[in-house]
Amino acid sequence: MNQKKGTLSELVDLFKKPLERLWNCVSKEKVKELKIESITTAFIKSLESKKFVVEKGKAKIPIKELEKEPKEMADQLSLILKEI
Amino acid sequence: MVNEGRGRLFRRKDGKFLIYLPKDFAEDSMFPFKGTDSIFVKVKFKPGGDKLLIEKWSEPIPQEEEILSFNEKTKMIISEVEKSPLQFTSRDILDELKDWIKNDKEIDDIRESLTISLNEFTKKKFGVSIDEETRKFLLNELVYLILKLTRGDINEPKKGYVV
Repeated sequence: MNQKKGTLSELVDLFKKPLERLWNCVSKEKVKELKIESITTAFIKSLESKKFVVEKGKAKIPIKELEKEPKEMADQLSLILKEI
Repeated sequence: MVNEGRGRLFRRKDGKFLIYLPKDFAEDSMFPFKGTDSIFVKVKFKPGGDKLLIEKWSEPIPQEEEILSFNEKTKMIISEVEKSPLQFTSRDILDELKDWIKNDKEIDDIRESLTISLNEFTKKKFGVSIDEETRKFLLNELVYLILKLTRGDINEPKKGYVV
């Protein structure tokens, strides 16, 4: 599928704040700026690697893809974090 | 002594019901529910009757084995979804954490912000909004991944990384 240009920094800005708030809610220690930027970048890269299709005017990930082990996704995130 | 008063039972905009009692009545020296700003009550009525009985009620204290720590709860969630990934389409992990986080509004705001972010993501990438099932899955997945990161189950970025 042809993807439009949503730049990485635009997407990071989109997700960074809510992810930071989520982190601070579930953790005793507040997350640092650089750390949450790296994590958000990894999330975006992980999101971008997912196989989306457009059906009935909506972007979706087919159920077959969703069935993948979440642990695999966590491992993938771990790898992306190492590469950043 | 004021042992009788007229109050009102009303429904708030959020759908909850409240019973209003007159101040003099509730502050009477013989008022049975004294000494606290908030208490649990048990309410009952007889079918066909026109009276409501309100009694003091103590919230049952959970048995020790029923009290999960936040750490145990997150461990349980992680283990369950890893065994059965499609639970991401049916569960609401943020909602399940509310009992531990105690800030319902913050949780609801985070959910709303992440929902908007996911929708914006597909709009920017594909020009369309996100499918409901996919949105639910990805939202839960993000929460799951943050839980894993905060627990130290995923390697965090090394200090000094610049994006």
